[in-house]
Amino acid sequence: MLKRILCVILLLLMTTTALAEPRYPSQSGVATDGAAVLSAKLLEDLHTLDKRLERADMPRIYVVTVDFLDGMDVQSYADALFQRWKLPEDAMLLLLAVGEESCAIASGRNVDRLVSPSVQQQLLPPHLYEPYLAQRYDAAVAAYVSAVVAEYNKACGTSVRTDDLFRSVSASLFDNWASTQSHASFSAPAESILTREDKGTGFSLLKVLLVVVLLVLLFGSFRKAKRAAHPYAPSRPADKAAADKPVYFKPHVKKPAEQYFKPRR
Amino acid sequence: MKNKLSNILFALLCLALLLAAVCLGAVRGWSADRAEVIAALTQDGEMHTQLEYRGMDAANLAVVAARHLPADDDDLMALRQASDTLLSGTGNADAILTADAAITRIALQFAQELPLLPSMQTSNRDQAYLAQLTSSLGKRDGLTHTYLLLVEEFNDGLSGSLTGKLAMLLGVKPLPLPEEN
Repeated sequence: MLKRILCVILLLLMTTTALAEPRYPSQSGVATDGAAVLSAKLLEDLHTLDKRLERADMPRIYVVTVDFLDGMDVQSYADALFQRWKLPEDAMLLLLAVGEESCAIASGRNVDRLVSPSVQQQLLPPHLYEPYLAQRYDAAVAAYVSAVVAEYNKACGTSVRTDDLFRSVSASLFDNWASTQSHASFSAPAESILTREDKGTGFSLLKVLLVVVLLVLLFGSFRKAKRAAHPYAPSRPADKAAADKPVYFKPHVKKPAEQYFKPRR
Repeated sequence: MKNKLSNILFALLCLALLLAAVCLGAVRGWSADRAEVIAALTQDGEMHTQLEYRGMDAANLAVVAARHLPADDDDLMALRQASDTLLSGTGNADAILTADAAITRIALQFAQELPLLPSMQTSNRDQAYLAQLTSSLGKRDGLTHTYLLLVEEFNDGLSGSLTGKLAMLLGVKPLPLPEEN
């Protein structure tokens, strides 16, 4: 009993040390340009593309720009925004934190089935990084969105067009593609991926482990109590016990650690 | 004679109870007022929300400054620490006020020094961010001033009233005045 009370108190203490909630932008359609860095033509093209994706029954792509993340790490911010805006499972959110020179993707399960999270991540360096760091935000968004739609088409056998969109940025864009494709070593620095996550949210690996241990202790003691209540219950073989375990839902938004990035300057 | 003695004892008892009630009321009342002033900074409320926003802006300023300063720069580290204090919501009133004052001081310093750096001069974007963030963080009539008014009001009431003086005699201390920036 004492152990259980201790567990609950510790869990409460850990939740109360969570950081203040950052200032999230309000959603305005498929493109929310909070940092005011995208052109009107690009916003229009994104809306046109969205209609095409909707008609083809394909996952929609939401683009968000903000200036800063208010002390949060970029992936947590993107995931939180995805949930806050109640985006569906067939949606992808591309977040650009312009003042922080970082970006992240959050996507629903249906998008992950179509284009795996690792492919979503792999598309970033050749298409987005260079124009993004050069502060050519239209080009960065256009290149990445076009690449994602190409992956959609490949996976579904559809032909949603993007070649007639993003024309205002395409001239320099395709030159950049050619040059960046050859930069195979251009990748996200692993240091920023891990340290930023730990620093920003207050959810360090240690805390997560501690929560897991506490939950095991808590539910372990329930199970013991159940067994004690039925002393004549036959002991179950290990494989049956495993089969009886409850099936947990996959988290709403799941991203591997590689998906965080802070581009090298 | 016996009856008279018991009457006196009863009167004394009543007086003692009355005094105890006054003392208890003074201590509890003034302690509650004191806690309320401190809670203005540490618990949910308008001032606390503003402090959180300052913490967020300080974190954002640290991101911009980090692009132009070495990672071990003392002011940069102090700014991050102060931002963490305001955002974590775990600090006491003293820690919060110290962090708030540090943010104001560093913001004013950055506003003067960072524009002189060559790397800053080549980035229009960072110049704009720096100007915007330091102007809001460097304001001298900020939260510390609002809190100072609350503290002064409490201390004046405590030292200027009979129950306040009684409460002081019984251990309720005046609030320390925050340093105005």
